[in-house]
Amino acid sequence: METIIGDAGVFSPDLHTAILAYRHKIFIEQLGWQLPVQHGLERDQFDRPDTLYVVTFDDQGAICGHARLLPTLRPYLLGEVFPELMNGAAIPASPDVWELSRFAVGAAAAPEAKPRRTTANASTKVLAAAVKCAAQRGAKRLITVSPLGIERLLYRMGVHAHRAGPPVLIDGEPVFACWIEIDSQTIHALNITLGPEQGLSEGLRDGSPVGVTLPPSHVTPTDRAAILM
Amino acid sequence: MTLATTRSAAPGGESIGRDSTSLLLDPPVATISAHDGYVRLTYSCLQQLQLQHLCSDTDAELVTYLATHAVHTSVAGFTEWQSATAPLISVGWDWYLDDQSTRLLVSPEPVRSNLMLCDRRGYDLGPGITSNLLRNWLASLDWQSAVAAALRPRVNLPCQF
Repeated sequence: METIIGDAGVFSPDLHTAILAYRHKIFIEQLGWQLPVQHGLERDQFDRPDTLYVVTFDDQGAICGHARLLPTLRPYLLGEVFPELMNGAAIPASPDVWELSRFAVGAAAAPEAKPRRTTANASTKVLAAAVKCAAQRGAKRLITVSPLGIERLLYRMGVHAHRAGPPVLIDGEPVFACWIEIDSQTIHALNITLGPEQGLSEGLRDGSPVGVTLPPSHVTPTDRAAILM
Repeated sequence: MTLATTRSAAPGGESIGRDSTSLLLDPPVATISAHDGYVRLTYSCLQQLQLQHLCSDTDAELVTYLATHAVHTSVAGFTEWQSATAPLISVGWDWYLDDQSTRLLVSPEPVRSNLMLCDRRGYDLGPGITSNLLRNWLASLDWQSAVAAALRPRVNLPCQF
């Protein structure tokens, strides 16, 4: 599995379209979420030129994982759409906090296929790439709006995650705001290596790097230039 | 065409814990940390807390997962509870039916919450110890009746405590 990170402004149009088509397959067709759709692409107001995407590819070059990162100093999903999930606490707005959304792992299989978003090993790799990317941009924690099942997945990974408040039923599914602390527990659980500029102690930089290599064929030279990690 | 993520919502109720209808927590003890979002309590304060049932459901994936950890059961699921306090304290855990004793038990998975338990001097006990202490606390409560009632008649579970 190979991973790239970049924003829509520097990805090729074909790759950006492939990302949004993958999200449509996963979130609309497989999981049945009620999200904005345009021409078979899942896209909302938070897919901006400055939005960061973590995208993983399988050995055949197909997208098999995705996460979206947004700084909380600009409009983001929780702050704009789900502020009450914060349990009365202030909506995060800090360079220390980034939002993780549209986290998915699994093949964009036929709609009748069972969603495979919880493949533990693949999930860990996508999350590790997202956490590392955010940490390199100054994040000390991530905030997410997620289905409740994601919390169990994070605990199984060993990540330091905790809910911001009680879940709320949205479209019949419990949804909650979840903090992911980018601390020693999470760094070790995800086997991430961070440099001293991320403010972590020397002792925390003993894991192997997250595997970020160039993905297969349909990544263009422009996309290669977009790899920010 | 406007592409916007929007939403809708709803919650529910039945309570466990001490007899008090709600617990007025000492504000300096029970506030949400602006730093990390945790609500901090001492264990003794936790023991006075009353929780209300929010939702429960079965989870077939959990049955399979528990089997890989030598816990064999025919039915398992999750349950969510919250306090009547402000700020809300949220606690959720996985359960399974012990087929031999026909009792509902807390699964080996960590108990999940927005709580960070502290010692009397205010030092954090850490997420692992907090989860373990929550598990100990749950063992003293009758949550099984509410879970069984919430799933009936779709799933008929015993409600032995």
